[in-house]
Amino acid sequence: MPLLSLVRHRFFLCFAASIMASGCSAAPATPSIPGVRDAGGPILLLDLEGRSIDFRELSSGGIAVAIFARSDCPISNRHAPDVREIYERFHARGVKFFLIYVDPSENPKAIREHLAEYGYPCQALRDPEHRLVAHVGATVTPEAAVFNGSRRAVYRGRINDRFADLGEARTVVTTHDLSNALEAVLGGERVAVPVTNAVGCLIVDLRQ
Amino acid sequence: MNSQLVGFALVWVAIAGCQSGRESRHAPSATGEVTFSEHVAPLVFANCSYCHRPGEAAPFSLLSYDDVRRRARQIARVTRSRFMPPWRPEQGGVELAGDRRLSDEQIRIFEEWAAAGAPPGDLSDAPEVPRFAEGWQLGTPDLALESPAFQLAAAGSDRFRTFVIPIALDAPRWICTVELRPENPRVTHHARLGIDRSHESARRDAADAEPGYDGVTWGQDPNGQIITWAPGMIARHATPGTAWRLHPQTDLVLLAHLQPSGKPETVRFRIGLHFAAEPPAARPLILRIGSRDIDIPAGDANHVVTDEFVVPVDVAAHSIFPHAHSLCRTVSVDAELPGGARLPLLRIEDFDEKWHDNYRFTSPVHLPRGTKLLTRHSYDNSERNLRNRHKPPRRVVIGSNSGDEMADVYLQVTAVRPDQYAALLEDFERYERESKLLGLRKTIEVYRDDPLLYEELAICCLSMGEWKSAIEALETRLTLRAPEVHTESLLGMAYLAGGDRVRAEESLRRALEMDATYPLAWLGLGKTLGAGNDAAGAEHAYRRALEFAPALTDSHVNLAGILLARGQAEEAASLCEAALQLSPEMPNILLKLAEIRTKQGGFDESLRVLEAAHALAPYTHPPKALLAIFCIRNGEAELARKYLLDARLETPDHPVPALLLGQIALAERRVEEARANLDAAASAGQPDTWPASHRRRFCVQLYSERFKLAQAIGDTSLARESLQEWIRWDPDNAELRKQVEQHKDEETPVP
Repeated sequence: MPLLSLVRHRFFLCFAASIMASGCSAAPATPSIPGVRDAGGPILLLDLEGRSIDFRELSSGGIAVAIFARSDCPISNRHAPDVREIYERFHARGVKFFLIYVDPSENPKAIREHLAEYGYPCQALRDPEHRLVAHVGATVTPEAAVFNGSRRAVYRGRINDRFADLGEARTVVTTHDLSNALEAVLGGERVAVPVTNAVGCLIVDLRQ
Repeated sequence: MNSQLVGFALVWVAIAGCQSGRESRHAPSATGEVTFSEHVAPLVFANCSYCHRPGEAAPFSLLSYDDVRRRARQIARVTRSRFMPPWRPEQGGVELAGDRRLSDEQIRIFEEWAAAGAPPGDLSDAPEVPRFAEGWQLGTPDLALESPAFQLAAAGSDRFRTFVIPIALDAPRWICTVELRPENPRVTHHARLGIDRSHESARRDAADAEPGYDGVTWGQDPNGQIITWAPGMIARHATPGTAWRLHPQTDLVLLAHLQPSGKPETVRFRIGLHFAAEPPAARPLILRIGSRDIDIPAGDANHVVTDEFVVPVDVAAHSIFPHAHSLCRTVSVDAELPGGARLPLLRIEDFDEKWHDNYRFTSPVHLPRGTKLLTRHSYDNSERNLRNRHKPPRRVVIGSNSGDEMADVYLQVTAVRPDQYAALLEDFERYERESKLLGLRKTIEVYRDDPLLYEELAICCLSMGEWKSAIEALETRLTLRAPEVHTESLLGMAYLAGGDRVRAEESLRRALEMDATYPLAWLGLGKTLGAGNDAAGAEHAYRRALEFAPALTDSHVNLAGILLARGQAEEAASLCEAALQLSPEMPNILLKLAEIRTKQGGFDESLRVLEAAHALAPYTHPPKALLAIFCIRNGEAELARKYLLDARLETPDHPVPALLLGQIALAERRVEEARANLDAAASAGQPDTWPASHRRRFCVQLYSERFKLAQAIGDTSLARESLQEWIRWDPDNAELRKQVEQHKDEETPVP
């Protein structure tokens, strides 16, 4: 009997959290993806001028993509052309893109150089304290998170299936997970596979 | 109680201390804490830092505590999965130099350290960061060269680009070691250096707007060497005593397999040449073994390709380099020794084309004559194979594109007895030609419309003397695309091989109309006109060939022959001298020079040259027997006989002087003398330096002479016996067979 009441209690909490997160928006109650811990407060990141910036505000009012990156991660870099391609395809359709640099020791100058070198067209932010990382439950670079119009994370995982494991690259990309997720959200549909396993450089190693 | 426990621990530590140094030195300390300075740094510095440092192939550095801490868990994972350090061969085979495989104990240290939060320990106690040489790893080279810079696009599929590297060489040099250094190692999948004497690479480069050209490379490996670079390979000196010759007028060509990194990249290579003062003590040979009969059905998850090659002489194996493409999963190479015992030379259970390496045996592996080298490659052409380039899978055959497959193993060997090199080379070349022919026919089954494949097939057929097949291949080639200069040149060579000088000349002249600077067409035209006794025309053609490809020594030697026939011996000799400057290791140049000197009456000089030729090619006749042959050609039979008698005295076990003496005696109707000599030639042993073809030619000559002798003296049983042997050694002689068949019922056979 006590066990049952505990289960009920948990269920209630989850339910309450999801109502709070969806706020007053009229959007349908999309279930949040597992691992997302949303207390509803601001998610403070840094821009390249060193200013504190609330990712929640920045990404509001439309669909947003956060891509976790690191300049010295070869897998992250290998995906740069893929990211550019996805940007070209979805930016015109109103999707906002943010590159989230997760290495606390990477300074804005190095990040600017990295952006130029790899031709990233999107805005870069720093997450030295891994707030957004923790919020969506990202574990590696590169990893993407998609937020819908009501600022709810609806996809987290790999950009595509180029890498099956470290050193195990497909010669032909067969699944374009991030693009699929964006198409679904833009079409007002649920993301068919909301969580995928990304392969890359472990973010946890960067925790100071 | 406590003190007992401590005592036990101390005993345990003492025991552990007696075990192998490598295992115990980095074991967790008595306090139990694994730290960077005490345990992790020694492992990283010894196994990772060589590549993980600025300017090298690895994508980030591992030189400091901070570098390593920032990837602690990642390192634990990649070492556990054995993705890193890259080392594919399994243990248990012949020992390989530079083994980077970590022990389980060493991997555990990384895991425990990461789990403990990557503690630094006392960093002042950490071992010193290893000091690697900056730039050149093998010291300052004698000559440093550079490829042109090439711009690699950010994305797209892999590029296979060949660059021509100009060489500023003052004189021909012996090269002992080459260090290849990509300036941009992180986009270089692998690179391989070859030489091109034909200038064909430079032509293709010039026809391509950017530096270098795409497609099949025209370079060849230098004699007995594979000069290659791949990520994770440690720069090292070549096998000692195996220098090769580099000539000023040749081109170095570098084939680079490049992979886009995500941003535009500049690609350039540095090549450091180290000169050897001395010619090589041993001539190495690369035995490329492995089947080219590769045809993998779509969906087949375990397709096995095997092949074998028997070494005809004792060899020492120095290094082994497996090669295949993305479908290959396992490679194994075994040596089956004459007694039947199997020696595993290399075993890779998880082959990955990204980690090519040329593995060197810790010490040379002795493989006695008759050893069977067995190769086995397995492939996964199913949908499940992530590396499959074809979605959905399709039939894959042999080919050099990355979507095709290969099943190669390159084994560097030296003949234990250097004088048996030619015998080894000949057997290998026969194996290789047959293998190539099989492979090309297979590739063409799939790529029916590729004109260049038919040209390659024609070259292969010509090398086997099959001119009819060569013409057939070229005729198919002509149906696919308008002929190019190389097509017409090849066609000319094929007609010439078939004895059709008129069509040969037509084709070669058409080639030269397309490009009057094409050296191979001039060379072919020289041969064609020379065969038709148009000495002036041939001379002109050879001189043009020399003008456009000064390093093609065939032009020197052939032109020398024409000049000699015309009485211009001195100029002929100086052409040979020039060719020797380019290729001192080629016995055919020395033979031509000796022929010239003999004609000039310089018998001592000729003998000196022939001794040099014999030293290079010990399977040739004794020098005095060779000199005798030149004397016979000059109509000086008496002198020839004198040299042959000398040769028989000096080398009583050699069958050739006796054979030649027998021939001369028979021609002069001195049958008893002929009989004694031919009997001696038949009963003398045959040198074990002889390649198989040489043995065959000797036997055909011996038994045909003995047959003639038998006829001259009316000895029926000798005639029958000789004829049988003659046919045995000359089985393709259809004319001989026919005649024997016609006269089989007669008492005295008449061929």
